[in-house]
Amino acid sequence: MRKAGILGLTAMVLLMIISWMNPPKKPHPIKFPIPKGWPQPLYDFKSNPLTEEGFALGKKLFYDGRLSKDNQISCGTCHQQFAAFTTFDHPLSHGFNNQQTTRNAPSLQNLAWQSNFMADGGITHLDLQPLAPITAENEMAETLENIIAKIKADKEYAKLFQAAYGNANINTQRIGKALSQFMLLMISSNSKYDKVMLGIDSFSLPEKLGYGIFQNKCASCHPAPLFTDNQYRNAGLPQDEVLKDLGRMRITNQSADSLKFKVPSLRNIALTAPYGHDGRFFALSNLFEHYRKQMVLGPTTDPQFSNRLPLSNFEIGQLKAFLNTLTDSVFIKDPRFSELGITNAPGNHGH
Amino acid sequence: MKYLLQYLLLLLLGLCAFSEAQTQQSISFQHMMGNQALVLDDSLQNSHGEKLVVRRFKYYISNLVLIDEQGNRQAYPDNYYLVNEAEPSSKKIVLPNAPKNYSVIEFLLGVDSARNCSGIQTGVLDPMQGMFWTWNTGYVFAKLEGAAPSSGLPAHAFTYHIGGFRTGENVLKTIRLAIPGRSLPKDLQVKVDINTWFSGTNTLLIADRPVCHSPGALAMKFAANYAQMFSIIQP
Repeated sequence: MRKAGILGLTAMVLLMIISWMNPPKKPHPIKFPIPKGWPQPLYDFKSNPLTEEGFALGKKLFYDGRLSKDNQISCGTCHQQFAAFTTFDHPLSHGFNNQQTTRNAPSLQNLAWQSNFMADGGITHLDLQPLAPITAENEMAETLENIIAKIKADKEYAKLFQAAYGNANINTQRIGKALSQFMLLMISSNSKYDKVMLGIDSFSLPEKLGYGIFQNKCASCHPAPLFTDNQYRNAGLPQDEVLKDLGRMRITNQSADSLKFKVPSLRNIALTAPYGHDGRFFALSNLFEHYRKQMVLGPTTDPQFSNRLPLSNFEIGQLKAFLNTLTDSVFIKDPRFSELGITNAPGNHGH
Repeated sequence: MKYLLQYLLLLLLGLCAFSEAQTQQSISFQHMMGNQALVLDDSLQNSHGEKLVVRRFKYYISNLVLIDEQGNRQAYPDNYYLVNEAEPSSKKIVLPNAPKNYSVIEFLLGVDSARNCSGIQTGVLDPMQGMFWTWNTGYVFAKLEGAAPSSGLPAHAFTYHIGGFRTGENVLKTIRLAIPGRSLPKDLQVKVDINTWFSGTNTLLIADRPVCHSPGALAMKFAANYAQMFSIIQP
């Protein structure tokens, strides 16, 4: 017994000496870059300071299929970089067991300037957002317990959690914060439009004319620099008979919010077809036809549309030219967000 | 001499344990259906005569405050408790440093709005505890699930997930209990009567209302009822 005691003490002293000689490595902070002229971000970075190690962990999680029940669906499956992190060419995305989602996957960009998430704004914090698709039966269909068990079985993750947080403890909060770190840095601010505003590029004539029409007819709900006012509005889309989606009312239970959906950003709009909260608009042309002719005016339709949105064919042409300047090819090719080089990522989005 | 350190350490540990034992007081929750003790999966009956079995019963307690006769308050703002019938240890809340004589105990049934709005929490507030709505941010404050022949749902199930912290659908309830004899006993016994969920301010039959899964009017009715479920058992 005494021998054991002495041994224990010696071991403790040795451990102390070792830890003193090898102090834990501190993660390397990343300064959040605010594009010139943009407002202050809404995300509380004090509660989740950005670090290179946290970002790397978040990236691995984002592209890890093990976050789903069949290990085949990662966040990146439905949020593809080349489509500005929407699902390319899909009105609705695919989920577990050949199921479909009920809404069009939103683009992931400039998330630090949003405080509510999903088309109905039901989620009030970016860290919490991934828990919804992860646990939804028709999306990734996995439990948090199972994800943590799978991650704990992977020694690579122990190293990444250690590097990001100082120890290898794995819990829901750390998973959510790391995913936020990866997504917060998805900033799209390098489009032609941005370069024109900075005075280092210039619009062509159709782009310039389109910009004028845009400011006159679209910018009240899609104001620069984010191209959304982050409000919930009914843009005259009648309810789909199958989906029966009430939009914001699902969260607030207020009939005044019936059929209202979050105003999406128009950044990278050329890459994010189909459009609308349920992807019902195949192309931009369909969207413009909706606004000028097909809009259904109901009790909660935005009052700005009392006369729908009159647009001539000429105006539509110029608007399209302008909207194309919102494409950010730097963002969609940025290797920091690329799935390339990620191990354990599920195969490409397949059919 | 060389064992002196070990002896000192042991002595210190002993002292710590001793001093803790002196100040430790606790609150124990006894889950009942009327006067019958709750046993999960055992047959029970509510006051409407509906037979039922309970499979899950859990709820959050937070913002606990002990108040003495002079109005002095001992608050535990950072302590959150998830009382769960399936985990006997969770039914006893240990109050550190509560040696004084308190006459009133006050707590929130649920999770205050601040914690609902500040991202992912840990411990008993970890969304992994199954008491969190991922699609409509917020905690389920109280959960009661089981089966009753009167329920028209598949497998005659009933599921009540009660929560909501936003204006117009707030079901946070402040529970205030007077301590008999104005002196906190070493282990305060609190009766928690599940029958109150069904009768009280609102009459709610399982047959009519077998499910409540989101904040709103029905959740508010259940919460108005279950706010009456706590009472102190006279020693």
